[in-house]
Amino acid sequence: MPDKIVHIVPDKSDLTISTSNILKSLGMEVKQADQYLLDKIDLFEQECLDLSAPAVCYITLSATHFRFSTNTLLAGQHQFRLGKVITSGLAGSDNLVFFIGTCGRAVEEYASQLMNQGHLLEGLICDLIGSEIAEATAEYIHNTILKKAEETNYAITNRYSPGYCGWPVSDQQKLFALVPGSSIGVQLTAASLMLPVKSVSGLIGIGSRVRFNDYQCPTCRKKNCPYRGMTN
Amino acid sequence: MDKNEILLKILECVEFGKVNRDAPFPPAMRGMDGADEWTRLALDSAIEPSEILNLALIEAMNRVGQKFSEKKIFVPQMLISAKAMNAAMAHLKPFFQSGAVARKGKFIIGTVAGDLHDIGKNLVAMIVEGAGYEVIDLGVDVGAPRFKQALDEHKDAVVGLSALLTTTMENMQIIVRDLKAEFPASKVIVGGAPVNEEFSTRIGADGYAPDPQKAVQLINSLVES
Repeated sequence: MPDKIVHIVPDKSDLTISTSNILKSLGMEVKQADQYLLDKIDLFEQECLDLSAPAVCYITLSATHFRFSTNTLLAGQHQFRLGKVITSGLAGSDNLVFFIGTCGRAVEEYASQLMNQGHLLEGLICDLIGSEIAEATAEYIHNTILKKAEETNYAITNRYSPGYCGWPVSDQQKLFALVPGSSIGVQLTAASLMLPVKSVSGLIGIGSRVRFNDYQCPTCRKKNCPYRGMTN
Repeated sequence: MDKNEILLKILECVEFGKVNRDAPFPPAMRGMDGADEWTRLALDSAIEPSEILNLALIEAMNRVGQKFSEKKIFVPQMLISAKAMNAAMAHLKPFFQSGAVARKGKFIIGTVAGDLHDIGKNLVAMIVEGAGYEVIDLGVDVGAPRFKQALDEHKDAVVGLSALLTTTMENMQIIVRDLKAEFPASKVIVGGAPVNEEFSTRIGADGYAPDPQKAVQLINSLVES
């Protein structure tokens, strides 16, 4: 049986938001941004952080509760179609962590509200900050798992999410069957997208024979990915 | 101040994103009237709403779209211009509703089923509206039935499908197939980060637009064909 579900409310000071990532999503580099825009991003970063309600939950499965076969993972009663890239990335794991994290609902509601009021740029900036907070929450989970792994001299893999690297997004249903996202307010739509939208989910491997690969984009076939080349 | 000077002021305010007198952007125009005030003055001066639309607003958004395509400006400046355009458009809305000013055509847009991302879709909708079209925005997670219903209500409209996820772009194929089956003469264009020309051709769409300005050009060509 898996370990019990772990719930964490991250300290917001542990969440790092990258202004350069926000600018990159706006199609710009930092040097191309004027002070007006930088000030606006700065202002909304603080406002959105105040509004956010980051939360995390995860479970850990030990090796007796999962096994890999060609491009798939059987975990409990669920068969995940991970694909070649992720299966090889997780190969050799002694434990698997299935996680869900969220930025909460308020930031995306605020972004929509601004947009609907005609404040298009401000709404977009808040939407992008919401994405950054969700990504920072995923990074927080990663670091939390890493610290735990290091206590037993284990390493961890990259984190992998449904919808990326060939893992079908429909497998979210199975992930949510293992980890109750509703316990932190995250639901799935019929199309397997998460609500709040600014949420993250995925899988991390732990073990003595696994490693973290610093930069994965070259191995990904999504050449047009809007996140290509962004650092975690 | 004569008509051309007023229209030029509106054009400049939209092109450079000066919404109204109180707006702090752009810094060089701080304290000056914006698109809001100049459009009101234009109407008070008996300038035809169609001239405001065609000679000032559409021309301004053309310039904005062109500069965006050439990477001379970026999304933030385009959004600020769109906000200025909206401020001007608010004064013209009654004339659209009464039929005193004709639009160039209609454009139905939505993010396809399974996808909840709306930023790119909103951006295209704003620029297309600024180019003189009536935009019917169906929102996100839109399946073939809703697109068909909208096309049934607005038969001459061009349809735009947006997707951000590689996992949902395949739904575009289903929607294009269903629309073409029921409305063989319909014109459907596609866009979004994972989409390209080859994909557009493969699914039987009438065109692919990598950015809002290209979407306007594509819609113009489809409406005129």
